[in-house]
Formats: sequence, C-alpha cells, structure tokens
Amino acid sequence: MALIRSYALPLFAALAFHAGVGLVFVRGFTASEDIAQVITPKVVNATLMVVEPPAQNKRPPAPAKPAPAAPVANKPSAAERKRLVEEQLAAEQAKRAEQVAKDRAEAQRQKQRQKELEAQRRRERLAALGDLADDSLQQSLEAEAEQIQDNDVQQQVQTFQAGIYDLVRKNWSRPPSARNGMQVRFLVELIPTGELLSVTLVDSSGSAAFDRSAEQAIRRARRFDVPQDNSVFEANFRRFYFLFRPEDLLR
Amino acid sequence: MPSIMCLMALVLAGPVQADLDTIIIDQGVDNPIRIAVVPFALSEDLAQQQNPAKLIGFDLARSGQFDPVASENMLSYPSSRNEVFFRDWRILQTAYLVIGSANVDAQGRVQIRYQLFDVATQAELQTANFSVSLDQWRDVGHKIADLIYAEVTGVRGAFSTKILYVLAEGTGTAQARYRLQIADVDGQRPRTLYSSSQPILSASWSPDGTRVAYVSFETGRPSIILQDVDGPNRERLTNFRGINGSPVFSPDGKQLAMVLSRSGDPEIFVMDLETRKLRRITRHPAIDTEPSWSPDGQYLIFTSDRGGRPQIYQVELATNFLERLTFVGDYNARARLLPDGRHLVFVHRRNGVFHIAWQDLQEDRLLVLTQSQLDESPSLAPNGAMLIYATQDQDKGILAAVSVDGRVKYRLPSSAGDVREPAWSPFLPDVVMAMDP
Repeated sequence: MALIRSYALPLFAALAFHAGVGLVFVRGFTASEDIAQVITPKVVNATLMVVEPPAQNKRPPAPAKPAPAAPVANKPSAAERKRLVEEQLAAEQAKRAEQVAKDRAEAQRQKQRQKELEAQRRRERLAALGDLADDSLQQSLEAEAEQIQDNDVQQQVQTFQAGIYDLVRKNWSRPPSARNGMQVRFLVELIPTGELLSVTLVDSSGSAAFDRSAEQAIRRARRFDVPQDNSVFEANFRRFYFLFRPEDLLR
Repeated sequence: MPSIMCLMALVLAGPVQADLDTIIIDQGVDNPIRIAVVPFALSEDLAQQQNPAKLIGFDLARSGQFDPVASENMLSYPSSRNEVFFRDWRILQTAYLVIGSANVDAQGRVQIRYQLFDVATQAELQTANFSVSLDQWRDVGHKIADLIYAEVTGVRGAFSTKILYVLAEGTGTAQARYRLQIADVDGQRPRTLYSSSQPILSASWSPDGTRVAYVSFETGRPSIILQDVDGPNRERLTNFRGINGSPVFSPDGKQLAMVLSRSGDPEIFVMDLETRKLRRITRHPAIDTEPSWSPDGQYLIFTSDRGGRPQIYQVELATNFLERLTFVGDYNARARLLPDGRHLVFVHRRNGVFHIAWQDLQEDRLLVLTQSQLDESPSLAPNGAMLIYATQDQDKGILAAVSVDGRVKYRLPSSAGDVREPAWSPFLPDVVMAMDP
C-alpha cells in the first residue's frame, strides 16, 4: 500500500495521460468531420451574395450626405463650393454608371430575346420539316444509312478474306495424287490478332496426303490479317471454314 | 450425366452450325515440298559408307516433288525424337523431317531405323526398322525413300525399281559393242545382261520383273529373245524373215505383242507365251508398229501411217474395233498409256523437232513435256509419275527423265558410249523388308 501511496502522483499522471490519449483518439475522428462540415457552407455563402447588392447598398448613403450640407448653403465658402461641385460630379458619375448598367442589362435582355426568337424559329422550321417528311421516307433514309454501313462491313470482310485466300493459295503445294474435284474442309479458329488457334479437319477428301497438304498450307501462314474492328472479327473471322477444292490441276 | 454431355455438345455445336464463312481455295502453287533428311547417326564401323540421308534426299529431289534442305544449312542434327526441336525446322520452312540412325549388331547385320515427322503438327507419321546385310545398304535407302514418298504424296514410290537400257560403244567401227544393261533407277550399280557385236533393240520387262524381251541381230537378222533377269534361261522366240520387233508383255504376263513382217508389211501380232501360238491383230497394207497394252489388257495401242502420216491408233482385242487417238501434229508415235488408262505419252513432232508429249484422252488436251531435240523411246515409271526417255546431248545418246506434268527434268549420269532405248521396270518384289519397331 505504501508503495502505491508513494507512487500516487506518477500513477495519477499515467492514468490521466492514458485517459487523454483515449480522448484524443475518440475525438480525433469526430473533429475532422466537423471541419469538413464547416468548410462547405462557407463556400456556398460566398458565391451567392456578391455581385448585385453593392451598387444598391452604396447609393442610399450617397443622398444621405447632402442633407446635413443644406443648412450651410447660405454662406458658401470656396471649400464648400468645391465640395458641392465634387458632390455634383459624384452624382453625375453615379447617374452615368447607372445608365451604363441599365444599357448593359437592356443589351443582355435583347440578346436573350433574340436567342429565344431564333430557337423558336428553328423549332418552327423543324416542325415544318417534320410535317413534310412522312414516316416511310424517314424510315427508308435510316435503312439506307444502315445498308451503307453494312456494305462497308461486307466490303471490309471480303477484302480480308481475299487476303487470307491469297496467302493460303500461295502456301498450297498439292501432292501428285491430287485431282481436280477432290475436296477437304477445315474449321479454323483465330484469336483477334489473327494468329491461328486451331485447325480441325471437318470433311476429309479420303486422301491423307491431300488433307495434309491443305492443313500445312493453313499452318504455314501462322498469322492472318484480320479486321481491327472487334465486332467484324467476331462475326466473320473468329471461326470459319477453309474448303480446299483444286480446279487448276492438269488432272 | 450423359444428358448433360449431350446438352453441352448441342451448345458447343450450335455456333459451329450457324453459317460460318467459308473461304474456298481453288488454286495452289505446287512448289516442291520442303523436306529435311538429317544425316543418319552412323556407328563407327559404318563411317565409310555413304550416309543414307544423302541417297534418300537425292531420290526425293529427283522425283521433282521434293526440295530437300541442304545438310550444311541445318541448325541441328538430331537422330532421335527427344533431340528434335521443331522450331529449328519451322525456321527453315521445312514441311517434313526425317531422322535416323544405323549400327552393326553382334551378328554382323546392319540395323537401320528412321522416323518421319510432320513439322507443322509435330506428329510422327512413319517409323520403321530394317535389318539387312551390308550389300543391301543402297536398297534400304531407296526403300525408305519409297515409303516417305508414298506417305507424303499419296503415290507409291518407284525408287527401288530398275531401268533397262542399251549401251552402244564404238558404233560405226569394227569393235562396235552393244550391251543390254540393268541398273538402279538412279543409274547406279549397272550390270550387263547380254552383250553382242550386233545391235540390240526394244528391251521390255515382264510385269513381274523377272524376265525381259528384246530384239537381237545375233543370227544376222532380227529375232525376239526372252531372257531371265536373274536366271540362266535365254530363249529365241521368233526368227522370221523380215522384221521381228517391238516385243511387249501383256499386263498379265501371259502374252507378248510384237511386230512381224513375214506377210509382207509390218503388222501387229500377239503371241501366247504358253502355247507359242501367234494371232494377227492388224490387216492393213500400211505400216503398223510399236504396240503397247492398255492397263486392263483389253486394248492394244499402236502407231500406223494408214492415214498418210504416223498416228496413234487403238484396237479392242475382243472385237478388233479400231479407233484413231491422235489428231494434233503430223507425226505421233511410240505411245504408252498411263496406269490410269486415260492419259497417253508419245513422241510428238512439232516444227520438225521430236518431243515427248502427253495427252488427256477424255478432254483431248495435248501437253509437250520436253524441250530438247530427238527425244525418243519414252518409258513410264510404274507409278505413272515420271517417264524416262532417250535424248541427245552433244551428239551423244543419254537418258533423261521428266515428270508427267512436265515440271521436273533430270539427266541420268552416263558412262562412255551412247545410251538408248530405256525401259523402266515394273514394281519389283521387296529386297528389304521393313519391320515394326
């Protein structure tokens, strides 16, 4: 007990310190939230109130000043005259400023009116066109646009197929047992870079030598040029058939 | 579980059957096939032998359908499957790879093995072992070339066959010598079947390759001789007055077609080899000569000038029905039918020069195969892929070969003297047998 009592002060200090740390620990999170909440309203307040009010607020104090000056009008001194002139000038300046502001506002209003007019006219014109363009015409126009796009795709596909045909044709050495009219079909799978993933024999010609010559012609290519457009690739080049059917042999 | 598999199969099959694009390849280039025949690993006691790879590569190149990779261009020299890096061979644009090895076993027999790979799929297509005596070293090489050729081209190889030809030395002098020679189809290992101071003509093979028939002038006038290739028998079949020429065996080996002029002008006859009875086939005052058989033995093809110019005719033996086959050009002779019975090869004169030509009888197309002059005596390889013919090189008779599509030609090496009248043998019985490894 005596030991505890002799260390009473340090014990109390330690407890107080831990309690303090605990408090800071708990307060720490709530404090940062408070700051975040405080900052946002400040920003909103600042932006809304600034632009117009100062002009109106400053003008009322200006006429208030000549009122105390009126009793002194009887004996106008040079200084007083000077002040009067200054006041008149200030009033004129204020008036001019007011006029400028008014003009500016008027111009703005006119501009807006013009804009509105134009928009309305455009709306009217569009409405007129809409009346003229009957539904079937619009549909055929849309269909035509679609077809043009389809034709483009078709053309693109044919171009790439012609490239593949040419590459395989150049690689194809037929064995002497090959005859016109023999045919073999392969299913090939490509990855989007055009590289060969698999070659599968679908319909054999019945001659292993002929089938192998065709498969080698495909495999020798290793990579084909395929469209960059992924949808075109997926639709036409992900999987397709090769049909080997010689027509140019002597026999 | 099976139903799930079915469902999966259906789902997988679905997109395949949705009409996929088909790219139709209707043309090719027919470049020779690139093949790498790696020098075989030979044990020390075989070191002085010619490497079989060289022989195989040479055989395949001569067919014209192969383009062997030169061994000095190879990136590695594997002799077993685990030493093969297919990437090396793809870099060399090789379609096929052949590796092999040979050694001598305790009994003194040579053990040779080889493997054929498809480089694209890395699949082993063929493998075989041979156990032979050392003097069959070349036979094994030719046999392996045959097997590879058949696997890759779908046509039986003809590298193990032989050729028969006449070698003439010192013609026009008193020491003139004529030899009937038999050699490997690459011209190697020639030996003499018959030698005479008088000319030898028109040698031809029996279909089983055991006998040959030829015309000899040993009696002072031509006679037809039948002789064993590897036996003692030699027999004079005919010795009539006038021409006794152009003996050709029927496809079944039982009959011999020939030309005899004992009735005044040359006519085609057929002799039954068992009874020795002669049957006259043609009756026409014009010359009828150079008979050959259709592959089915039902028809004879021959040359006749009954139309004013030499042309090819065909006669059906059962009915004697006659038909003219060639109409292009003013000289067509010495015709042979290909094994398919549809295509004809013959000597064709164009602009005064003799060439070997090829004709499709169904579509009436004619193709001139050779460009040299004085080409004569075409003889077909038994697989119908090549034909051998006699031609002139600097006033010397030599043998040359051409593929039936005209793409490949090569000349056979010849020793001193004129080489004439080649005859390509039929397929011969195997001298070496492949054993499954």
